[in-house]
Amino acid sequence: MLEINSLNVFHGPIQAVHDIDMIVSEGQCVTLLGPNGAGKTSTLSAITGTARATGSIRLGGDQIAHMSVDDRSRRGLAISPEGRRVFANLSVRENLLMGGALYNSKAQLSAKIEQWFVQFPTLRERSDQLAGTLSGGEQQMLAISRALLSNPRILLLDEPSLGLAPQIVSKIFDIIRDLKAQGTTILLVEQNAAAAVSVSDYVYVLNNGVIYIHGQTDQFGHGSELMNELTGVYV
Amino acid sequence: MDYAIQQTLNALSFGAEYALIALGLAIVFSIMGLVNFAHGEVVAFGGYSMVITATLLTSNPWIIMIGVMFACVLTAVVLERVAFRTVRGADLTTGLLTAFGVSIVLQNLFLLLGSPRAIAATQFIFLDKTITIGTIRVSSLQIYETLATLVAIVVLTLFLRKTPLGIAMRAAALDFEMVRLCGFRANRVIAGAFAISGLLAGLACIFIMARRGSV
Repeated sequence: MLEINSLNVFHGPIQAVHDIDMIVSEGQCVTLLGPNGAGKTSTLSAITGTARATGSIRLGGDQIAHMSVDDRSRRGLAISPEGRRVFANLSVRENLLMGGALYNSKAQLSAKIEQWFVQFPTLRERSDQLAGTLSGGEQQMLAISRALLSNPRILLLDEPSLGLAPQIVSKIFDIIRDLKAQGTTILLVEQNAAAAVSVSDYVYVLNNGVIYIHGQTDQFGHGSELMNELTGVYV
Repeated sequence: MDYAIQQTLNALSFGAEYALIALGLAIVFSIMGLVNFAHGEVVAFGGYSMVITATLLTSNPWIIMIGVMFACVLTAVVLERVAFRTVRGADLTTGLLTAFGVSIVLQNLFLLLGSPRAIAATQFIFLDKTITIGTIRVSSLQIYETLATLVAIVVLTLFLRKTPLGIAMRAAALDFEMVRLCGFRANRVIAGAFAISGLLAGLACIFIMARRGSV
């Protein structure tokens, strides 16, 4: 589904990611783990086109590395970005409408939004409220819903657990588990190794901009010792 | 008392004219962070297009009005495409200087191709009739202007609240990159903002021309 080859990512004069390769197959949940500053978000930015990068990025076999941000999104990339980035001064419903850029019919989009409201009743209750007044967990649900409304081929999730209370984190991971069960292809970026490993099929560990180790989830012993040894920052 | 009412009416109609121009500037500024110094030239271009349409095509003022609006929208969109889109990624100062540059180029084009002197264009003067209500004298133009501005504000508000492109514009004012990440085309959102600013400039141009009768 998503295939990345010899990707280099730059922030101004600084190179954040060095020559990495990654594959996310259809229906898989793949996690990109690593400490702060490892280059995880940079990698996602390169995929969505918001950071300067060189290398090959293929989505469903098509080269997208030269495309603009909007073209890539229209090709089937959707992201719930770091810090959630909901439109704070827009209502919850308007935020969801923003996820519907690719719909031709308004009725179809409204029906799809109603469908989401069944899955996330809290969003329905607050549909006329400004998104900025939602709690962190609700904003995260909104950001994920906004991304998924476009029926993407792959969903990119950048640290969905960031800054959330432990109960909310487990709720968010339940949602990710559900999405995966429904067949959504997911690329997850996380620092919360234990939780991330529990939902994913394959793990890449990034450190200082290079892939340190990668493998099937079971090789990671449920995110414990190997992880500790690798980066020294995980519990 | 009469004096106060008279002045209030004057202030309202002048305010309405400025509001039309300010709205056009604000919609572009909120999305791009660009102060479009060439906005006044868009209004001026509307005035010249009025002279051209009136001389070459028709003397029907209603058709000329549509022509003026169309010319202003077209100018704003073309300026975006030719000048501002090319420097979109650059920092704010570059955009600002581009706007100054565009403004200077257009002013000199008007001098070269038009005339350094004012050209009479009186087709809209008929809007300006004096109506006397008791002791207060009102120009019909003032009433039209205030009403047109109110209608423009209501229509713009509905557009920004109800249509996908309008919602995307409000979202773009908060986080443009996120709007693109949602799959909205950046060019369409920005060109849309310029088109709206041109339309408002065209509306303002009609009233300015009706008041002055020359460009």
